[in-house]
Amino acid sequence: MDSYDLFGLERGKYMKRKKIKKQTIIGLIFLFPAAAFILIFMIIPLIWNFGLSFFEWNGNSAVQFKGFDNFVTLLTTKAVTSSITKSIFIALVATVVAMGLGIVYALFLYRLRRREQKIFRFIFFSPAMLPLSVVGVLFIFVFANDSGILNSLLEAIGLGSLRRAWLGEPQLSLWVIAIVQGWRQSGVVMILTTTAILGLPKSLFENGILEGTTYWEDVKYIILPLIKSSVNLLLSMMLMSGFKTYDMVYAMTKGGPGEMTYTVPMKIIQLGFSYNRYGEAAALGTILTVIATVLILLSRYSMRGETYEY
Amino acid sequence: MLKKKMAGILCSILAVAVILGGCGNSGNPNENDTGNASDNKPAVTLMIEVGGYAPLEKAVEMVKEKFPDYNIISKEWSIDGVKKAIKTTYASGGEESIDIAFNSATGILGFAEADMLMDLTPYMEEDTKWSGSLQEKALSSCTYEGKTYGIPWQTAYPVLVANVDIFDELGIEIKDDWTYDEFIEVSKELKENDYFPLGVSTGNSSWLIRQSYLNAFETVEELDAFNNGETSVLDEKVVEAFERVAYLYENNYCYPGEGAIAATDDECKAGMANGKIALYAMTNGSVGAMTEEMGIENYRVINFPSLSNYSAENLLGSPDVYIVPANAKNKEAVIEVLKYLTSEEVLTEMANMGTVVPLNEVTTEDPNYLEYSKDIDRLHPEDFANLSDEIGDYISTGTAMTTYLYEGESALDELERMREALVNNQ
Repeated sequence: MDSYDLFGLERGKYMKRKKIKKQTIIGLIFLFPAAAFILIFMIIPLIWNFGLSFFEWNGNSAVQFKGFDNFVTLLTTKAVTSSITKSIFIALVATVVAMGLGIVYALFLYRLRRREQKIFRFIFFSPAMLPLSVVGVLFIFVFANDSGILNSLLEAIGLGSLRRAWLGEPQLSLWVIAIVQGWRQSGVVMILTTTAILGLPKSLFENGILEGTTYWEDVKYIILPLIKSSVNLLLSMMLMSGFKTYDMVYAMTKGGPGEMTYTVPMKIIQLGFSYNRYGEAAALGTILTVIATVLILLSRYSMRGETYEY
Repeated sequence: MLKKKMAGILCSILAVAVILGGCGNSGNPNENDTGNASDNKPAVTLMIEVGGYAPLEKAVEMVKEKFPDYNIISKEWSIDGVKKAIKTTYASGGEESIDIAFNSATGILGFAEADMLMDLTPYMEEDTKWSGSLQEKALSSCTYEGKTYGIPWQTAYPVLVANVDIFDELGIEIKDDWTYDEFIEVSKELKENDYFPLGVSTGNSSWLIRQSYLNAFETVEELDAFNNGETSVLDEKVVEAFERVAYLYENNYCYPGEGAIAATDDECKAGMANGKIALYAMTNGSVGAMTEEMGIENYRVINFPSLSNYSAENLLGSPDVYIVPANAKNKEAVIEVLKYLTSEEVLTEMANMGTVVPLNEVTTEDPNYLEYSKDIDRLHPEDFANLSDEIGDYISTGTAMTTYLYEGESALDELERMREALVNNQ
């Protein structure tokens, strides 16, 4: 009987291993196209770009090894450090706006009935569906100096003294671009936050009802702590997206006035395609990657805390 | 169960259709093929058409009619797009190439330095009838280290279009060649009557400073020294040039006042069309089309002011040229097309449509042609901004002037750093 049982047990283990192996192979086959795509179009170019950072190349002649010279040149050039500062500024402000608006929208939607929820979800998400360049062009008309919608509205309601050159003053135009970028991204934050909130068990809120808590107490003590992991993920996504800001800036100001809103992606294109300095362009891309990675890791570290299972 | 199966089948069909559609022809609406690849016609790719600019559209049309045996592909041109297109096709080393593109004469420096352009000198020397028909001054601005890298097709320079109704209303005389002080007096009077003296869009704002420093020096030698990078940007004459332009912006003489340095084309056109701007800056070749677009009937074309009290001789401007990247395929066919594009036949047709062409003898049906071309002899293509791509970008994008407006003289330090770096490398 023991040997029979042993045989059955071994056979069972073997069949199980075989099934797992088969499932693994099938899984790898399905993963292969996506993995190949990521490898060819993201990983390999990333490594190649990193390598090019240490060379000088004008797109035609042979590459020349420069060591860290490209990095030194970039970090000591005022125009480049200025563009890095602007990229960081836009990334941070856009992230704060996107997260703030998105979470508020999600909390507002959670209180609505299903039908109204669908309508408002569509309204709040629609900016995210528009291409960045379209949003940029749209807001040129909103922020135009003389006959723009915003200035005309301020004039109409008696606040003409608040009229500004929204896209004509350097500091102000950065804020405008960052806020518009954040507003556009808030729809994505809203959708994912809503999903996270809807996944919370109702039983947690029943206790609150019994104890007579208000909705905002529920938000503070139940919802926000429990969706922390989703918020953490969204924070990283928004920061990454903010650092890549190009279309919006190009559509709204083309980096102007002058180069006052020139972000790092625009500077990379300028270095490469206008000045034929592909090595420096690659080095600037590497610098931006490092800065973005550090900031994202810092944000994740600051959001660390207890995780709750429910 | 059946529903699930049907849904699965439909999704699979949709996925396959999307994949096949994505793998198919890009159907780029900006590309116009006149032949099939299977016809084995030599292909010539042009990147010269600018959306809405009729003379270039006409030129491409004429080329297609003239060369039915060639596969003429036309791509939409843009100032950033042409650089990217040429450099990426060059770097990729593949079959695709841009065969003829257009750029400003000053913009070909970067390409020439990187050996990305075909040397057209042998072809010019061989066909003296062709080279002899073009203005020598225009041709000379397309040379770099003794080699010809571009063939001019248009001579562009800025002019001012004056709204005559405004000046008549205020009884102000419109003059060509206002000195700086005279221009300021006129501007004050216009501003007091709630008109903006000047409309300059952000893309053209660099004209003001370039014109100002081109006329900032009393002698030709001083100007040449500055244009060659021998004179410091911190020289008092250069700083004065910046100050003169800054005065216009600080006193809100430029439309729409605050933030004028960032005024878009559309904003300025709207301001001119609504009768708020007295003088609008535009290129000579676009006067006809733009005044029609803005609905301005009673206007007069006047010289762009020197913005200086020292000199009024020099006018910024340079030819727009056709260039041939060094990786162009079917070189003989490309040269044939290039010769035709810059022939008397095509250039005369473009002149009839308002383009100021660099032909030695022009016979045109456009009665206003003389008006658009009267300042050709004043052109001074040599410009400090042409010393390098970096300096050119810094000035031409308006960065130099914008930074000066917001940071004062310290803004010139960056320009001086670029000048010194260039001089040290030479």
